Parts: sequence; C-alpha cells; structure tokens
Amino acid sequence: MASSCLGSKAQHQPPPPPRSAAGRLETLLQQRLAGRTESCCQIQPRRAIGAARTHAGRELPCASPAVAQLSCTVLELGTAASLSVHMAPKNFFQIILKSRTKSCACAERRSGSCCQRSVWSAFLGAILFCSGNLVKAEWKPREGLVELRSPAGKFWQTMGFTEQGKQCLLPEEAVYMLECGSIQLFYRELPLSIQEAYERLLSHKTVTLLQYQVYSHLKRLGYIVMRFNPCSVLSPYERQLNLESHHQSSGRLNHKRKRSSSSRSKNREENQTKRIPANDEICGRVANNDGSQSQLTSEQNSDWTKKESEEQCPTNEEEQTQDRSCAKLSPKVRDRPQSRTEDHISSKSFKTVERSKWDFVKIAFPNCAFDCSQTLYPKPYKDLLPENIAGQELDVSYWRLRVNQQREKLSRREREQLERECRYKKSVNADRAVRQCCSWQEYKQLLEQRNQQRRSKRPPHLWNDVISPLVQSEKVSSSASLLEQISILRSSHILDGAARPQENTEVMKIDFDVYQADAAANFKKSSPGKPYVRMCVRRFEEQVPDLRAVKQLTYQSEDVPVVFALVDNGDIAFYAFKDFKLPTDMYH
Amino acid sequence: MTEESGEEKRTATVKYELEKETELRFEVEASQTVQMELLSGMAEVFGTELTRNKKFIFDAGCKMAVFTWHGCTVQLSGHAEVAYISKDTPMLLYLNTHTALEQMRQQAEKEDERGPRVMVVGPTNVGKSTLCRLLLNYGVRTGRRPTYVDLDVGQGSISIPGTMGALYIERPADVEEGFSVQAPLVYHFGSTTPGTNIKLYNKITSRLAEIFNQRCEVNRRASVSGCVINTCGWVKSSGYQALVHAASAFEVDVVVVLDQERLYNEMKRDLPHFVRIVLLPKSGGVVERSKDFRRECRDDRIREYFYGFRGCFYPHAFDVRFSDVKIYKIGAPTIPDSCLPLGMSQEDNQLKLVPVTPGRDMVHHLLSVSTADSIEENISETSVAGFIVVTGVDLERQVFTILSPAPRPLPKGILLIMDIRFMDLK
Repeated sequence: MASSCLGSKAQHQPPPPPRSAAGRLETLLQQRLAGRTESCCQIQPRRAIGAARTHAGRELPCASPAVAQLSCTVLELGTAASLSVHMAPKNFFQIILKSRTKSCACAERRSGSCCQRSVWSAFLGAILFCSGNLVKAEWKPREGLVELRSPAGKFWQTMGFTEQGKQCLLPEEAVYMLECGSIQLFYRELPLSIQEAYERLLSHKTVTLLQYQVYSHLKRLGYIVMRFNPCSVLSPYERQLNLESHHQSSGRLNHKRKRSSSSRSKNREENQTKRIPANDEICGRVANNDGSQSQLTSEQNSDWTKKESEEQCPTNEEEQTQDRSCAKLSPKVRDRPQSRTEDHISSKSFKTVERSKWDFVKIAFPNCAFDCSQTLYPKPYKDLLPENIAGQELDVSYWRLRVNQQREKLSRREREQLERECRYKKSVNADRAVRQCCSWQEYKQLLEQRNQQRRSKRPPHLWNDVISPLVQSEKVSSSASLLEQISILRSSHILDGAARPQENTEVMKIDFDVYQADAAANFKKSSPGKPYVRMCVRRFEEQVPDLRAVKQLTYQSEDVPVVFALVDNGDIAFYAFKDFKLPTDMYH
Repeated sequence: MTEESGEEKRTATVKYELEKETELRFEVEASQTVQMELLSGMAEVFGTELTRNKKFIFDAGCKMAVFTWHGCTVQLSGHAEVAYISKDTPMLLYLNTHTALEQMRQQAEKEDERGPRVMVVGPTNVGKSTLCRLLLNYGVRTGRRPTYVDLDVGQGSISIPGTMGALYIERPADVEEGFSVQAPLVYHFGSTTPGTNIKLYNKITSRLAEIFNQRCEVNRRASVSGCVINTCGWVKSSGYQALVHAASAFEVDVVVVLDQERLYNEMKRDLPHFVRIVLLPKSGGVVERSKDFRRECRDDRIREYFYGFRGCFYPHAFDVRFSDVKIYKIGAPTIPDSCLPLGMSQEDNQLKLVPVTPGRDMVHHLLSVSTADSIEENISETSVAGFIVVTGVDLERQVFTILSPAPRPLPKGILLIMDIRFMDLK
C-alpha cells in the first residue's frame, strides 16, 4: 500500500484520500511502469539504490518492487530535470528523495512490510541532512495563499508576490516548492506533509490538481509559469484604438456569386450550318463571265444558278441589293446568304461593303486545291519577272493530282480531334460581319468589339438584380481569380468575429502564462513581458473545444499562441490549433 | 518521276544537257564534295542565277537542284550520289506565285500601300524553306527588298536553331552559302520545337511582327516589298494554332500551303476571307530528311556560326567568371498538372525568367547573349546579340570556358540558356 501511494505521488497523481481508489491507481501505475523501457528499470534501480546505500550505509533489498518503482519514477523525473535549465541535475536526486520520504511518512507508518520500511528509513536520513535551511511558510486558507515567514530563496525571482509588505506564494507555487524541498509549510503551527499540502492547498477555489500537475510539469521543464491575468490583455476597445490587426480579413472584396453567361450569343449563328462556298469558286466563275478561259462544268453552273434562285426570296431588300453589288464588285465577299436570323451586331459599322485591298481575280495565285476552279493561268507580263526568266502559260490541272503526296502521320487522338473539328468547327467566314471586313484591322477591330459587346450586352434582369451570375467574365484575369470568384468556402481568420461580447467565458479559460526558461536571468515578475505561450488546462476525457471556444481563447490571448495541456492520469500532452492558409496562386 | 538519265554517276566528270524548264537534281555523297560548273546557257539554283564558267563546290550531304528556264549544259565533277534530270518540277507554279506577288507589290507601290506578306506553311519535308528562298530571290531579282521572317526554330536558316528572326534581303542568296547574314534581327527561343514553350513562341512571333511593322513605317521599300514568312513543320494542334496566330500577328495577305489539303482547308476555315490561301504541290526533288539528318544539319548550322562557312572564322575561347554574368532560362520547368497548386495553370510559368546557377550540367549548352542591360527589361522580347557555347565549367575557380565568335569581354552580362547543345568536336 505504501508503495502504491508513493508511486502515485511520484506521478503527481492525486493523493488518494479514499483508500479504495488507491488500489486502482496502484495497478494503473504498475502497468505504466511495466510499459517503460526495461533497460532503464534495470540500470537505474542500481544507481538509485547505490545512492541510498551511500546515504544510509545499509544493505537494501534490490528485489523489492517498490524500490524499482521508485527508482523508475526518479529516473523519469531526473530526465525531465536534465532538460531543465536552472535546476541543476546533480542535487535533484536528493531533492526528490527528500520530498518522497517526507510525504510518505504517514503512509509508511501503516506499511507492514519491514523491508520497505527499511528503504524509507534509509531515505529519511537524507532529509534530516538538510532540513535546517528550509524557508518556512504558513498556509492561510482564508486568503488562499501562503505567507513566508523567513526570507525567500532564489526562487523568489520567478515566483511569489508581495502583499502588504509580506512575501507570499500562490498555493501551486507553495506546493511545488514543498515538493522540491525548498520550503517547509506550516498550517496551524504544524508542518504539513506533501500529501496534506495537496489536500489542503489544491482545491477548486485556488488551483485544481489538474492545473497543478501541468504547473509543476512545466516548472520542472524549466519554464517560468505565471497565472494568467485577463486584465493584462487589452480590451476590444483598447485594441481598436491600436491597430486593427484582427480586422485584416474583413476588408476582403465583396464576392458575389455569379453565374457564367453561356447564353450570350446563342441565337447568333444558330442556323449557320451550311457550308459556305469557297471564294475561289466564285473567283473562277467571275473569270468565266469575263470571257477568260475557265473550265467550269455545267453541273457547277446549274448548281450555282439554282442556289441563286433560292436566294431570291428576300427578307431584307437591302441585304439583297448588297449581295448583288458584291457579286459585281468583288466576288470575294459574295457568299451564299446565311440564315436571315443572323446577328445584327455590327451591321452599322460594316454596312458599306468595301473592296478588299487586293483583287485576287486579277492577281491570280496558282492554286491546286480542288475547290479552285481556275486551272489555266496566262503568261505573266514581262515586267513581273526577274530578268532572264521567260514566263509561260500555266495549267495546274496536272498538279492537282500531285498534292498530298506527303503522308500525314496522325495519332488516334489527333484524328479524332480533327474529325470533331471538321464536323463542328465553323468557318470564321460563316459570319456575315467577318465577311464584310476587308482587312486585318477591321477584322481585329470586329473581334475586339465582339469581346466588348459580350460584356456590355447583358440582360439587365440577370446582371443588375440581387441575384446575378456566379462569374463575371471581365473580372476573370486568371484561373485563380475565377476560383476566388466562385469559391463558396472562404478562408477565415481565427479572430474573425471573436470580438463579439463574450458570454459564458466560464466554459474555458486560460490558466497560465508560460515564459521560456532562457529568459530566467532577466525575468521580472512585475513586467514579465509577452509570454511564450498561454496554457489552458483540460482533462483528457473532455471534448475537443468548439470553434467558438477556440476563438474566444485566441482572442483573450491576443497574439500569443494558446496551447492546450491535456492531462491524462498524470500524463500531460500539449496540443495547439494551427492556423494555415489554403494555397493560392502566387503569380496573381 | 521521269528520269532522263537516271543512271548513278560515280565517275569524276559528267556533263548534263538540260532542256528548257528541266531540273538537274543531285546529292553529294557523305564526306565528298562535288564541283559544278555551268558551261553554257542559263540556270539557277533555288532562284539564284549561276555564273557561267564558275566552279561551285558543294559539300557532303548537300541536296541540290539546278533549274533552267532556257536550257543549259552543266558539268558535275566529284561524287554525286544521285544525279538525274527531271522535267517534273513545279517551278512554273512557284514563278506564277512570284508574279502574283509582284503584281501586289506594284499595286502597293502605286497606291502607297503595304506590300504583300506571304506565309509559307506545310508539314515537314515539303520544301518550305526552299520556296521561301525562291520567292525571296525572285523578289530581289525584280528589284525588291523583301524581308525574310523565319519562325522555324528547328532549322534556323537566319541564325542558329532555337532562334527566330528576320532578315532584310538585299541580294540573292549565295549558291553555296545561302543568304548573306548581315545584321539580322534574332530572338532567343531556346529549343528546337515550338511545343516546348508555345506561349513564348507566339509572343516572339508578335514581337517580330511589331518590329517588322515599325521597319515598314520608316522604310518604304521594305514596306512595299513585304515579307516572306517561313514556318515550322508542326501543323497539328498547338502548332496549327501558332500558325493562325502568326498569320494574324503579321496580318498576312497570302498563305501558301504546301502539299497538304487538310491544312489548306483548315486555313480557309480559320482565316478571314480576305486572306488568299493557295495550295501548291511540293517539288518532286524534295527529299525526306531523317531525324538524324536534321540533327546533323542543326549541328552544322551552329558550327557554321562559330567557325564560319567552311571554317573561315576562328572563334575565341576564354574564361568568364560566374559573377560577371547572369544566366536565365525562359520558362520554368514543366511540372505535372497534379503537382501544381490549386488555381495555377501551367502556362503561367512559361514566360517566367528563371535564374540558372552555373554548374557542370551547363557544359555544351548554347547561351544567347541578350542585348538587354538589366533584368527589368522584357528579356524574352529583347533581341539577341550573339551566341556562345560553354565548353567547360570550373566550379572551383568559379569560371566557365566559352567559345565565342568575338573576343572578350562579353558585350552584355545577361545570358539566356538554350536546351540545344553543341559539341565542339570537328
């Protein structure tokens, strides 16, 4: 029984006031200790025992499980202490032994095992060795603090406070110092054992055991731990007076959900499914009318006239006369009229049919394509030829059979794509407005105009109402901005809306400010500065805090990170929420 | 193919009697040379007239065609691999194309307009470059000053492969050497296929068009004479889109499609009606060039840049300190789409200037010396002063050894690295 109590203390378990709980703890602890690395258990006991031997000068039974447990615990704490900066590991073992033996004085009395008693009596020698220079302190339950009766030691640099000229310690500080063997605690003029101190000093009014466990753990690791004081953090109003750093994200653009405008020009080109005849065909025909030597077949001719007659059903007189004049003037622009429901977009600016710069009827480029009906080209004029070259009449009909000699290697995908294009892709010239362009400038201007119209020609009920399309095409300059426009889940900052009046702050609160150990040399209790982290102590079994709680804590903590210390039967794990940004396109 | 004297000639000297409008085609054997002499009559090689009784020497791998409009006698001495006379030549078609262009130039001159801009398109191995050379030569011979725009990054007939450029043509091409390259406008592309960075390709195309327009504004003769644009043999998907883009950028008046009806139809579909698109057959003399042969040609081209035609130049080799230059690569390396951050597309990186740390892997790479003074200038759209090749890198001394056409120091400190490598072996 004694060993179980001891073990539990060593692990900073609550001292088991009801003895029934002790059994459970014992098994629990033994399981845990058994799970520890074997090698430590084997080496460390000997060292611990060796130390005990030097102090007591007595033979100890090393087989005792209690000793093994104790030494294991010492080892654990010893490693923790070795991490600590300002706690020298060399005298640590002694301190631990002191506190252990003291606290177990009462437990030991009840212990029946004589060998265990011998262990503890061996350790008792160690306390007696240095109990003289302990700082004396008195527990004042009404004030909830510990008043020092003799001048404080070195610990005063990072602990305690002065009230009405008296040096005081907070309960957790006092218990910790007691555990360390630095003070001797009195209550009603009687010294308190560690167990009693646990019971008396640690309560819901002062500091819970849970909080104390975290406190002492951090202290052992060398951190400077202070109670969190909410007043030290600025109020929302104060914060507003300063920089609105927490409002950073509220200035984002008002993204509206918009729908894409796919309907923009559906009616345009709707019925333009027919193929337009190639220009060359017409060129050839005109050449024929001019009396030149074109080889137009009669079939083509009749076909043409038929088409012509079909076209005679006018819907728009102007258009028709235009058509005719085109045919006379420059046959290039003369095409089979498309569906009459064509767009009238640029009808104003392109009403007057201009001649293209070049008259390719007169300027006859030899062409071997099958859609070109002209096969004979006259002998070129002398002045067009370089010297020493005699031109000749040219008949391309022979060459027509000699194109496509190079075999094209196409992959299956390319072939499919070509087929698709052949079937669905329309000629740019199927558009009447394009046909009325007669130079690149006009063509480019038209394309530009169309782009603009696409933007300006919007039905007002779609674009000016509350509900508008998800995407505004002109605002999209990159895929990143598009994604941003259509994004439904928006990234938010943890402090968004956290400044709202905080109800039930009771749910969770920050317990400690933790300062880094290396600051100990120039640490000042009066102006501790910005803590390294703020600690919120929770039980492991408790639920993960909800977003509101996290927000509130973060807000309380200002720009200091909040860390959750989760206590699981004496094991302490630290967790923190990480703020991260979704990746964005860095080039825009 | 009609061959009149099809027997392979390996003897030292052979005389060929050419009838009018026929062509003598021959190839030079590997590691051999062929001497050609025009004995009587008139003949031309790709539009350049031959001088009578002058001996022309062609190197190994040369594929030549001597055409005569009037009939001539040609003597070949050396080892010609295949030598035959062909009647079957589309020269008349090409000549008519030239006369049509000339008509346009005359009209442009009369009406104070811009002259014809021709783009020659077609798949690989159809004789695009040859047709360009022909049209340019005929243009110069009729007293014009056309501009040759070369968008074919694969062969690079103006400068070295991996570049795009423009050249103002003032005299017919040399029979042996080709066009004399004096003050060409060259832009760095960095690779032998436009597919590696199609965005950059299109951007340089636009830039060239812009520069050409500027020249046309100040030089009336250049404006009237127009330009002939040579293109890549890649005529599918992105390559095709690049062609349409080039046509639009240069505002071409005529597109000559060589030997592919599909391309002809697509061009008709995607270019506005006022652009004249014609389909012409390829010449029977055009030989299929293998990949290896193309690579060799590229190497020869680069060697010629450094060592001159038949080794008439002596390049300089010297050390350059790493700290003296800044080396960049245009376009960040492509990463798979799945690895890209959300909302980022591959093309965003294509025009980015990525600094290159000098290292061993730079050996044999070609570097373009940019004319830009600082990184703030738009480097990808800045022309190139010249090229150097890295022959060695010494990491310890922090220097690299380069082969340069000019002595030290380098004119500018900004270098652009190419994917193309050149081994200085021969």
